[in-house]
Amino acid sequence: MLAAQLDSEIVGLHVRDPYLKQFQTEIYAQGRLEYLDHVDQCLASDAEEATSAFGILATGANVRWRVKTLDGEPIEQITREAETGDYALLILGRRPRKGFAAWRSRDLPGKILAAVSVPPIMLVPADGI
Amino acid sequence: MSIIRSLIVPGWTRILPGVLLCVVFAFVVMNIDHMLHRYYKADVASTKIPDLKRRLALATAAGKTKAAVKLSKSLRKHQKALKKAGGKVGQSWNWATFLYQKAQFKYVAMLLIGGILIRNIFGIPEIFKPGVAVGRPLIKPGIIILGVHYIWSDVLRVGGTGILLAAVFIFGTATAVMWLCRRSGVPDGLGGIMGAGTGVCGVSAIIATSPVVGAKPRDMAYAIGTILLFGTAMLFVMPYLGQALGISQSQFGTWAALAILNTAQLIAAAEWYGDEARNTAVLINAARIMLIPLIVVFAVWFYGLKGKGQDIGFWSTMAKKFPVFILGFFVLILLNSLHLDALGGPKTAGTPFWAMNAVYKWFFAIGFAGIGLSISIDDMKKAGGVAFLIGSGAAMTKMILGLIAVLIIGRELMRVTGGQ
Amino acid sequence: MTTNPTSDKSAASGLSPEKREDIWALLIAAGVLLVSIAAPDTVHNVFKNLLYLL
Repeated sequence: MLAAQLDSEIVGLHVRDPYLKQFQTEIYAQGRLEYLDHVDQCLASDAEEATSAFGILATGANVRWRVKTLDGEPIEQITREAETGDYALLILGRRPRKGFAAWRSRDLPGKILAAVSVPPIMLVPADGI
Repeated sequence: MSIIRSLIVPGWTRILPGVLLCVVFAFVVMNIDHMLHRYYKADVASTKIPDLKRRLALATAAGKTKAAVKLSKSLRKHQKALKKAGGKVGQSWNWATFLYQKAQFKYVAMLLIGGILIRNIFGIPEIFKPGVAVGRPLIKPGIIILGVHYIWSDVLRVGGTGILLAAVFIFGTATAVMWLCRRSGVPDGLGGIMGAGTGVCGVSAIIATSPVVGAKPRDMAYAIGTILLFGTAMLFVMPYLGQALGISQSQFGTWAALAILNTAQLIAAAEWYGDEARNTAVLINAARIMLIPLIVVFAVWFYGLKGKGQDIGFWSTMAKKFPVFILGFFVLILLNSLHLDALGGPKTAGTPFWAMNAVYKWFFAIGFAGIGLSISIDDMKKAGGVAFLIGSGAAMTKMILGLIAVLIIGRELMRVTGGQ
Repeated sequence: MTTNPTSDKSAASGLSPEKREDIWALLIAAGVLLVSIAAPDTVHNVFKNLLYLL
């Protein structure tokens, strides 16, 4: 809505996290190349799905949009992109967690928030936790 | 020439710093272990020498020559141990006995616990990470060299019984998990990798099966996290549990080989428990890892998969997923079984196999350094979802059933003799 | 995790990474066997005594 009112372009950032690839060096891991191919294919198809879902939402809201796909560790990639790209506002989503769930969570939005200088907006689901 | 070129690891310069870190870490820990062992032996000697002297005097006075010779030999051994530590009778090294014997704080524990602490508290700089992951497979030459500890009768008796037990546990777990997953509406991808992962070799089996069963990344992360969590927990719990239950070395080796999925963690736990436990565990593990291709074939059959652009036929899967290095282990067992004078044996001083027996521990140490430095609590935090329920259920069931199995089998059947 | 293990894929020249790793393990073990045949006492002394400094 904000983007439509200001006639701004909204850029969706999608990060293909190669986290799972590190396990290919497991001591008896067999079929590593097939495994790496499989992870690549999954990441590519997830990126396509995310782009398409984002496009449907943005088009529905009558906003100019594009999706930028990055490769690497998500916090590092998003922070770098936010700092080096020409962005006026960073929109993040966060699901508040407590106790064990909070300990398990990597708190990606919190870490990005702490690392960037671009003005942010944090969206929290209406149902809270 | 092309064969030699294909042996060069791409980007090998990237892995060098991490491998060196593992070597240095292993070197430091092996030296600390050596020092602890020396003071532990000295502490035992310091306590035993007065008693041995008294008994020797009594035996000599009573004319019991045989007993006197035996006591005298034992006395010399203890005096030597005391001399090595530069100590005197009456001096005490309680701390060494506590750490080395009671707390079982040996090189395996030091490398694993130390590695976990370094990785998760201080972190590992990026430059070391690729090499640390490569440090783990250095266990493989250690396993091959360990072949000098066995003869074919061990392979047939321990390996034969072991492979039967392992096959029952592996395919029993895989079938039960895959069937339960299908009944409860869990996607085939997750059911397949959890069946294979909880059945045999944990993460390695997940790597081998995930492309075949088309597992989703989120499910893979859950499954890997769960397997790592239970593997790490068992690695630390089982040696102490084994001691508390008073099970023998060979029983522990068998139990660990049935219950601990990750090979490196299995060898670490068994080595921690003792040499005999390790010998049994490594032999069963050698039999077990040969079943990895079969579990992939099993998953293909169970889910009626056709293969998306991949050849998933029986023989091509067997050839592609067979761990070739294990053949070296069996070649050394064959050579040891032939009792060749030119090669000798692990206990015959001055022979090649005796020399090789001194080397394997160093490869294990570097590999364990790699394992410890690779265990990330963040990876384990990813354990969750249905995978966690399946993983915890399968892990506990295997641990209990494995224990019952080894208690029924008894102490002798799974003991590796090495021809002694 | 910023390392990129896929770099291994581009260099897949006949040998898969796991087969390469296994062959290296076999070569290292064969090397140890050969050196042990040539000089068993030296190998034993190095790994049982010399490497222990403490």
